[in-house]
Amino acid sequence: MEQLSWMISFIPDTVLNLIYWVIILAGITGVAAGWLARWVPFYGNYARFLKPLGVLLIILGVYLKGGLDTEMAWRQRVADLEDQVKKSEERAGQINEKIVVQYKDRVKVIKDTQIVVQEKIKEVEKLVDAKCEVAPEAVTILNDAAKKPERVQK
Amino acid sequence: MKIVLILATTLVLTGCLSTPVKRTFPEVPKELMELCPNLKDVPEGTTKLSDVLRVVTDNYSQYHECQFKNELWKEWYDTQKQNFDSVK
Repeated sequence: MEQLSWMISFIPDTVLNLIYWVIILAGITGVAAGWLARWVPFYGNYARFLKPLGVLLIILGVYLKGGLDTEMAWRQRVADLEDQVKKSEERAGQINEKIVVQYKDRVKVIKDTQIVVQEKIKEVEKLVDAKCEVAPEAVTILNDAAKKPERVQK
Repeated sequence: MKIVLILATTLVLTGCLSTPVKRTFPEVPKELMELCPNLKDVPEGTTKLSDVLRVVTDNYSQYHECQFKNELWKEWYDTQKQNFDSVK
């Protein structure tokens, strides 16, 4: 069935649409002819074949036409979605650019502030060091607190 | 005639189609993927308060950078998710 659909897809849609309408009209004509044939002499023998054939053609035509219309509706939906996805991807790129700019700006501010703080320490270095000597225990506590806590193995 | 109608109905009911549109969630900027480094230690044997201050203030800066990175991660995810979900 898929191979058949694939082969049919090479026929232009307008031509397919026309073919399907012709099948439906042929079916309607067949049914009508089958109904009218009972009053036409000699022709009545064919009437019993015409009616089911007409019904079959109508069903086939409606099925194919329905399939084509569904296909068209899906193609339109896919095209809309692809358009939306393309725009969404463009927006995603812009969001990433904005985030990176924000990050670089803020990191620069943090680094600049750090430099200012280091300069301030340098200015008061002698005064601070003259008045206070840090005990080694304080350094150990500070370093222990800075260590990344690891999960205790049980 | 009945068989024809039953077969035709079955045929019509099989007329379904699905066409997927492939999508991927955006990539995270590499700046946000960098892990926060460990806090700096005060060198053993340090007695100068100024040296301790330097390390502590450096660690504060490091924290601020990581804090901001974390805020940006959240902002990035919320904005990208909103953008991703907008396609329907």
